[in-house]
Amino acid sequence: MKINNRQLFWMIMMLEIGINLLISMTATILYAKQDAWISYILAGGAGLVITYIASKLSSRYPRQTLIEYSVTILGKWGGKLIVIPFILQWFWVISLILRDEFLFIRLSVLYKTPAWVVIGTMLGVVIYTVYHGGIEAIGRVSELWGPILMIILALTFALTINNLNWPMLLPVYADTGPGPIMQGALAPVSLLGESVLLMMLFPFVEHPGKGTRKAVLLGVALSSVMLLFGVLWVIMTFGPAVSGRLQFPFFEMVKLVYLMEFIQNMDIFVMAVWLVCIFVKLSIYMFITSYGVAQWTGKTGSWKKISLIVAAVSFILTMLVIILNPPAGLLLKGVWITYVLPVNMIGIPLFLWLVSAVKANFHTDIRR
Amino acid sequence: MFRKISSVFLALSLILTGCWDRQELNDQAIVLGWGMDLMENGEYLATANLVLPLVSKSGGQESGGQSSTSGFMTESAFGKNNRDAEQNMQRKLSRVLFPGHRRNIFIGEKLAEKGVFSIMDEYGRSPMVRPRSNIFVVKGGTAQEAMSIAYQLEANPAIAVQKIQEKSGAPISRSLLDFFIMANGTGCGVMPALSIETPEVNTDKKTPEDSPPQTTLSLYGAAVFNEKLKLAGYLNYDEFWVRLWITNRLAFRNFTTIINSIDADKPGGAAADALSGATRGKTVSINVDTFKSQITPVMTGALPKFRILLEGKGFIEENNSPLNLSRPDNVQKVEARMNQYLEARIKKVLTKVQKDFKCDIFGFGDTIHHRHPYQWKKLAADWDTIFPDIDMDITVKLNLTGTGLTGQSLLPTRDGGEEK
Amino acid sequence: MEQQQTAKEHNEPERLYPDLAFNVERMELEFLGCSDIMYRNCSIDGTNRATLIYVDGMCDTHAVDEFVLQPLLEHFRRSTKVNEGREAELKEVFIPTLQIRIVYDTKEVIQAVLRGETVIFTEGNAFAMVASLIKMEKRSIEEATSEKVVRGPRDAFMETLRTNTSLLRRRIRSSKLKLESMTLGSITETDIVIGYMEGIVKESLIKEVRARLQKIQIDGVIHSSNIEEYIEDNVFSPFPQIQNTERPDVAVSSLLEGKVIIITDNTPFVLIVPMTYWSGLQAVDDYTDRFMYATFVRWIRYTFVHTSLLLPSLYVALTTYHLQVVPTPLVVSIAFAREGVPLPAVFEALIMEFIFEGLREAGIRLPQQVGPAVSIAGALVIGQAVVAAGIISTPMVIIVSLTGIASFAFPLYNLGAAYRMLRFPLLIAAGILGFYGIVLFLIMLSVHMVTLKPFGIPYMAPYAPLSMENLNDVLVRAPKYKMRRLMPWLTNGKTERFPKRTK
Repeated sequence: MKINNRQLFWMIMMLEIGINLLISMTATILYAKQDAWISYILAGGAGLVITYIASKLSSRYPRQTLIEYSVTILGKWGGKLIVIPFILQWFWVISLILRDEFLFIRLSVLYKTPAWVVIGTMLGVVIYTVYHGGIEAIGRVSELWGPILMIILALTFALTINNLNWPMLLPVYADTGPGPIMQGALAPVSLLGESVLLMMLFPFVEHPGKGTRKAVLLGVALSSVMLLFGVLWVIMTFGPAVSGRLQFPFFEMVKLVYLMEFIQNMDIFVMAVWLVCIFVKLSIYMFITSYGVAQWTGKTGSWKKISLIVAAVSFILTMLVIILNPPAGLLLKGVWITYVLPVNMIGIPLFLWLVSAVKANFHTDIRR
Repeated sequence: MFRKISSVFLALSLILTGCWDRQELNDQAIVLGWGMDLMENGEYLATANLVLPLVSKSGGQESGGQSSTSGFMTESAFGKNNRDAEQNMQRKLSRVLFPGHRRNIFIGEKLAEKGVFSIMDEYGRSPMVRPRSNIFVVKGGTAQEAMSIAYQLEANPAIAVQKIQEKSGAPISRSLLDFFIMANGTGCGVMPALSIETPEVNTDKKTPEDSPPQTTLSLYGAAVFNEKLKLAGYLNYDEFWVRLWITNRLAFRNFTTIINSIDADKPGGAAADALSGATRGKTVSINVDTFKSQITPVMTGALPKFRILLEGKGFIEENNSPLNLSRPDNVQKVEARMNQYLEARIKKVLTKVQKDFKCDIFGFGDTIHHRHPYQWKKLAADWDTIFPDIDMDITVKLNLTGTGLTGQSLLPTRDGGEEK
Repeated sequence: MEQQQTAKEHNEPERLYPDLAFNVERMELEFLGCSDIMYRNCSIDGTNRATLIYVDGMCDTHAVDEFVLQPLLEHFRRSTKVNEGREAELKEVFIPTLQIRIVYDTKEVIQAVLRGETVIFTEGNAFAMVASLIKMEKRSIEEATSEKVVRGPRDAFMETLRTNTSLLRRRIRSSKLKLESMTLGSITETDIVIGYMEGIVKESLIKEVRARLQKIQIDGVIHSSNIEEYIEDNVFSPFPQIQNTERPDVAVSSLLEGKVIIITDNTPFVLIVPMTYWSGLQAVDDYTDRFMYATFVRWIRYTFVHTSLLLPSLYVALTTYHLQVVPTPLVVSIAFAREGVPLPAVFEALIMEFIFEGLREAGIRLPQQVGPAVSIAGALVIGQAVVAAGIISTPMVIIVSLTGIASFAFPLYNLGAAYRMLRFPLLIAAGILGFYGIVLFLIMLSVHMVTLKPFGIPYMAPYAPLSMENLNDVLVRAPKYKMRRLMPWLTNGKTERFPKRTK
């Protein structure tokens, strides 16, 4: 069960683009208005920093996952305790993605299909992949679909180019200022920062090392460039006011494709590759959750059985989220940005890195 | 084994209970057009233009024949808003209304005068409908009147108006979206306007096969909405292109001006004469297909001013004046004359909008916002009171690149022309 | 590896006896009821001196007459002593043929007879002479019927194993071409040859093939497909993981790519392992046409191939779930055409696909004389009548026939069969969940395809996992001198096939 650097690159890429295209844009444009693109550049930079820290940390323990090396760094109790936020985050993020996917599907294609069918079928495909193929299958599927995603996105950008009205981007900076721009950047950075899950994937790479780090950073960089294009296109098509009010501005923009009367409504094809992105993201999370829980409980060998439990739990959680229906803004802002971003994406990796670096220095000092 | 049984079970349960969203084509009434009118008692009257698929089948054995003459029907219902009316309309329909192809929305003049604020939300909210739609105001009539008229060239009048709109030189099929964007900008809005027109001259049908012109739908121009989204007035077919040119959206347009034979020798002579609406004199027509506009706000003084530079590229299509167009200086004369004519024409429209409608449909406010964002913060609040008094300096620069297939006319030289 | 089973059953080989009558009786006992076994006695002066045993129809009677029987009789006439003929004498002097050997073991004699060789027992000798003068009825080398080409060699493999190996050897004059022989099937004892290029092929692959073949315990190998199903990695997959071909040139190019071929006696189809998805989509003509045209045709094929899978379900999903996606004029004309059709679109599609598959199946089995009549009835009468009666809509007929044609664009028949079959579950998925169902099904299919690993080589290679140098035979068809590299999964490190072209 090994993946190579190129597969990791596509995995990170699809993971970052999928949900970001859907949910982060509106939140960003609401704050940063026509300067949302600056927010995205900032977010891309911040995402790269977060990824760099996480990959640097993992490079110190190339044969271990986060669950394992946290124990190595902090000892048995500390190590087991410090990864609890991650395990909670993973469970939570699976149900959140599934819910967002369901909401989008319900709004755009299937209006009456019950929630359990939409979620259950998706979860079924995910669990089939994780159980049957593991991380290797996920890597190869991303490699298979990644270029297709790129082609379709490029085609979308090319076909909507005549809808663009670049003065919509003006005035730069004057209306917003640093505060709103930073605030706008929070949503995309919190989603770009999801690349920290590479701490779980690192030991599955064939030759973990500098190449791996490069692949991951490149994945984050390229996906933030794609997102930057996306947000530029959205603002130039709708203007900041309208796009801030649309729930899924990117997909509305795709609906505007119009060429020779016949080529229109590409949205369904964009939705197809988007679904593949969501699938890749869900499978990666499903895999690392099962594997992480298995390692955490000390039964690494039985991760496949645990993945079935994880699937069942996330199904129930998702249905709960759908039934209780908390507002999407609360979930993204209230939990994700206030807790997950500072704790899981920045705090813990940085802390672990520092402790491990200090420890290493200490050891070399003693040896001297 | 467990896996196989469970997957079979899941698949079976899906198949047996499935198809929640399935909606056969035969069970859907495809809506191509949607009209809203305001009645005297404050209720809305919705009219739907539906595809009538039965026509071709009853027409004869030929399956899929194109012989359908009127492939549409209209249905109407009262309601409190769009959805309510749709609900009420469903009572009369054997098929489910399907709004996914509702690309043309008609608004009655009365409703437009009272304001479209109350009904337009649905056009952006409903997930079924597409953002790329046309929205029309029916000048001097109700939406239902306009939608009931059969159109001869197309099977469906809704498709007909959409195609007419495409031929007007305006951006194709995005008036609804542009209305939303504009309403969020300076607060005003513009929609294309339709009118029902009777033939200019009535000709009797002498035999049943005759086909004299009939009453039909036509594009009137543009309807201007003020910031309360109420109808402020109309720009007719000869005026609405001004806004498109200034906002950089015009795709093509023919212009015709009058060049008197006297003027041939002194370019820039009696331009006013050409604008007087006189039908005398000799006409020149040009076809312009490349438009460019540059608005420069001048922020000196208490009130902002605007320098508007409009450029265009085209060629001469018709020349009834005695000018010999094989001579470049004569082409320049036409250019100069045309510039004058257009400047005056545009000035007139601008004044009309400024003084009569008092709403900034040209995006001048947005230009200040884009170029001078900090000054705009002071101006934004009462832009609608400032706008009517703003000075505009209009320059039109046409560049005629050709004279068609002939230089000099094929006809012999006429009065006032050059001898050689 | 020869006949381990027989060795196990009889630890002591059963020897022949010097007594001729006894030996012949033993043989008659063995072949009791085998009417095709022939005995020919050579009696001189009333005493039987020798007996020839052969299978009627497999023996080259002319040669036996000329080279065995005549010299033998002459020898017996000259010497009257019963047990005078010595081994060497009998073999070398009196029977002047190339293929003769001395056998002492009864079992071996029986095997030899069954192979069609002529066995000569002589009085007083505890051995038999086996003359391999076989002449079986066989057809001549004909043109390949299932893989037609426009330009390219016309010969095809046939039922005879040795003819097939000769077709290969004729093309590869190198001692590196190894053709290992083995026998499979406890009753049929079918000859099998494993062919590979030493030095190119990966050792582990050869070992794996050998091991899997040896593991087979089967009573009879009737077709090469019997072997195929035994050595396949994942039998529960719609996709073929072993390529078959009846073209020697395909087999040779596979050998040069480091693949292994398995030739089975009595089957004109040679198996090639391992197979990748893309090799199933490459036709011989791709390599004989000009490369630009070949690339163009290849893309047409890719489009058609995937159309054949997707078109009906896309039609169903778009017209019953996502009508807003179809351009307005098209919706109106489909609505016109569908008016009055009583069936839901899903069933319409399922029924039409079902009928089409039925017509195709019947078409293969039809006797040649009635073929045209039935296909006219099927295609014209049913198609026309069904539309005229308003049971099926015209667009559906277009879709189904387009799909039908597209499904024959596969160069490899059984890969096409996989997609033809997968159309039905996909249609059902589209019927239940619309486009969402289609996408989920496609994801699942792609997961399945990337997890397939026939003989350790990823099925979707070289696209996923990617190997850049090999894409020039997948996405395009590069000129021959550009396709210099083998797939890294198929070699032991050295991927270069030949040096770079020098100007």
